[in-house]
Amino acid sequence: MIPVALSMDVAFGDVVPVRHEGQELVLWRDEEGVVHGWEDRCPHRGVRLSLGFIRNNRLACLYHGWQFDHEGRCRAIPAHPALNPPSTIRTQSFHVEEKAGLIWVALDSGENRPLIPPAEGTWHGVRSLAIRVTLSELREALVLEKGQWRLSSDRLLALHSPEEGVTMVHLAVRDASTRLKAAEWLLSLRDSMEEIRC
Amino acid sequence: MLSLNGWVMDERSYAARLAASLLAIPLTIQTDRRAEIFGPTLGDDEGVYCVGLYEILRHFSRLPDVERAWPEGEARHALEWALEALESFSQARRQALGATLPEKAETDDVTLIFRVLEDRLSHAYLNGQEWLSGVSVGFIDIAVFPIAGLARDLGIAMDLYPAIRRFVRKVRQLPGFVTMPGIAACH
Ligand code: FES
Repeated sequence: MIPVALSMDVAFGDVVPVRHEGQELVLWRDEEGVVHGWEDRCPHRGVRLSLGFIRNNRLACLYHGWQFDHEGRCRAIPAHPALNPPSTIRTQSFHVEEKAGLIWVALDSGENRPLIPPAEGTWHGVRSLAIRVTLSELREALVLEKGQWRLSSDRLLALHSPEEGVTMVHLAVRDASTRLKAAEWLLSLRDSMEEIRC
Repeated sequence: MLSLNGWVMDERSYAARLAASLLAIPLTIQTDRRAEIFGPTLGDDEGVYCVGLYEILRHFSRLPDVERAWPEGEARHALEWALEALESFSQARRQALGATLPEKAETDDVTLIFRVLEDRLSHAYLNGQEWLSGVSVGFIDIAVFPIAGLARDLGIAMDLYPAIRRFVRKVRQLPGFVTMPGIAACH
């Protein structure tokens, strides 16, 4: 599965855009705390759902206000308040898991889905940082042959690729008191990677 | 009563309006197209006495009921950075909005502004500081807010900047938050 954001960056009320290798997604968290990941495209006229906002524990599209519930089903169309929208109007949703302080989305169906790290317990998000290098350059530098993450005893490093030549690095730690230090390390990783590149 | 001469599309005039509103400073607002070029001015019945956003914020900080310290030391540098960043952002935004053909609006300078802003906001957050200005929203936050709030006009990919997104949402929730064209009211 692909790590697309830190849990701390998807709070209730946030509507979060995410891109990975050409796939555009929107993430949001419902009142029960469950995170949803959908294609970033309104089934009505195709406007980005990530421009929308949360109303009545649903994601509402900015354009005409259609509201989609936790299952991605359209539940309200403001221009036709009396209408019960047909169940066929729904967003395209992806399987989402929240683990180790991160949000993971299954973009591929089937077995060749990369695994989530076996990181139990509480993890604290440090930051998600965009580094101007390709995913493969960063993998090489971090000696990460394949997969999207590397786990050590107290740090979890996970990568995704929002656009050509930019890699998003998500960092979480076990011990919250080490977050500042971990953030410094991440900045130095960015500096050295980008320097090598230019 | 204080009176602000500003232009509705001008980012600096907006920052002055936002500051007055968040800090509960009574203000009348006059439309003055010159603000588009020279920035907002502030005055009263006697005449104009502050020209530009820096002087206006400085004046606000001296008003008796405003409990916001004027930034000193490191924080002053942060404010100066914020004001300069707002100027360059504003130039790039006008160029983009006024272009006859779509062009790549995000210049290298603009990218750098967003990176630095993201770093600063993330650092403040990890340091347990609610705002760039410290425990409460202050002049530095207000000066950079138009950059963050109007990012979409330059086609900035906001998925690269989670701390800026968090910041925009927090400012929007403040009592007294006001909008400008490009920063919608719903949310
Ligand atoms: S495009 Fe989303 S409601 Fe119309």
